[in-house]
Amino acid sequence: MNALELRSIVAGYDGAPVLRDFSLRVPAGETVTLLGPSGCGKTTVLRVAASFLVPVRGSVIAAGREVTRPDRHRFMVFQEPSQLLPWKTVMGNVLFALAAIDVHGAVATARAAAMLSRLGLAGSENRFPHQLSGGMKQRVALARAFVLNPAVLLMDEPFASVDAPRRRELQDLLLELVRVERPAVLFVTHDLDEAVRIGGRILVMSREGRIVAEERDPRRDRLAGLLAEQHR
Amino acid sequence: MWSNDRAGGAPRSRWRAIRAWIVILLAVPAWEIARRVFAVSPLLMPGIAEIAGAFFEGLLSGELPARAAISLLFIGVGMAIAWTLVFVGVLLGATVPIVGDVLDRLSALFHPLPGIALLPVVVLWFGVGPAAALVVIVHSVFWPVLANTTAGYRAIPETWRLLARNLELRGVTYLTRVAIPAMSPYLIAALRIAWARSWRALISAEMVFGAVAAGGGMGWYIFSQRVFMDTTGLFAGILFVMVIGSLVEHVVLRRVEEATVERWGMST
Repeated sequence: MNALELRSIVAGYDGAPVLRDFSLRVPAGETVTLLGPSGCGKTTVLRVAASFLVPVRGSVIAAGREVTRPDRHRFMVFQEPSQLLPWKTVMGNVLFALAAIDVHGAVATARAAAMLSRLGLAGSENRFPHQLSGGMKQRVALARAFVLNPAVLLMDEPFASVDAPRRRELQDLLLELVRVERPAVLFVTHDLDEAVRIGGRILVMSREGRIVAEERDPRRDRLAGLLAEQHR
Repeated sequence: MWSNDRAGGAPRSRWRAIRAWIVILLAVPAWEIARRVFAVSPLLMPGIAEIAGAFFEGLLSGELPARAAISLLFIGVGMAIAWTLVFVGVLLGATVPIVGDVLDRLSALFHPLPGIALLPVVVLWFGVGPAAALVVIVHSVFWPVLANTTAGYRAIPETWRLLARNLELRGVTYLTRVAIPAMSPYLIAALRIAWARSWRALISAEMVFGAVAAGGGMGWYIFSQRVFMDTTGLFAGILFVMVIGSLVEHVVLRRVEEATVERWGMST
């Protein structure tokens, strides 16, 4: 069963289409990585998938039913480290998400603490986001997402703003969490190495917002060739 | 070079504050010398010792604090009305486009209008009682707070708005959990402006309207001291207005700022 399906989507901004007849399936428990050059419409795909952007045509199907409004079962992790709420501590940011699904009190604190600990954030619970490095902020964003146990995780280049060694650590953490929690993941990146590392089914997008190749067994050299073609 | 704030950090800035206070306090002997050299009547320039005496007498007898409390009570009520109207206006403006457009235009027209310019109309329509004073305060507070709150609402980062939508937070929940804290730098700036404008407006209004409540507030106190030619009391009243104004601005609002936007790393 597909956790998420985009059917014949036409979507864009201010009347200018970015996606034309775009379709995509993310089976439950699988990872799909969308790789493409900047400006090809990867973020637009995620926005449509999260129902942040209403398509002009086409439909978004989540867990077998058509959806038109955002919900917590398709949860987005953004690129910007500023996605954390600055008036909440690390723990507060995770509890904020749990409160939205009516998990409160000691149960919420225990769940949040356990998730933060898995992400190597034990001891940082009472710090505010402005006291954290970029990599730590993205760890908190991951904790906030995974603690909700969403059916689909939408990830918009979540590690793009951190340096290479930290990015590798975060990728490892994500892969470990995905292996254990088994959400469906739609991961967007323009970074070839990241796409290979995150793996799953890799879809290469053209500048025109179309899927031009699909790789189930990613080989870096082959993907590099495909990506280079899109940059021409 | 006149100043370099970054050079010496906290000790340097403390020294600069002390230096500024020394210069200001030099006005005390200058005042005394001027009134003696030019033989100015005590009715125009009373001695510093007399002013200080009247100030502490007013303070210890409880008269000055009681007058200030009346003024502060009016400001509190006026602020509560104005802020409620602002939140209703901003929410309506955000959901009904025409309301937002009308409020934008009205704000451009009324924001530059000083409260004192409205006094003749206020007297005509509301008389000179408490209602009139509240109208002046609400006018003084509403427009600058509306401008700041609207700017703050529009400046909420898209990521936080999308996060709230993702977590299905809407209406009052969105307002209280996301929008208000997200707007906090703007709201605190609005609070500062609102305080400064309402304090000035009420003191001025009381001098025109007279006592707006039993005993009157600080404006009425100053005005009545002048009427009875109690110049020392007049200066003591002015001094107390300055003290209260500074305490709220530099102690109360500063603490609010430290406990919120500075703690959260949101200060601009």
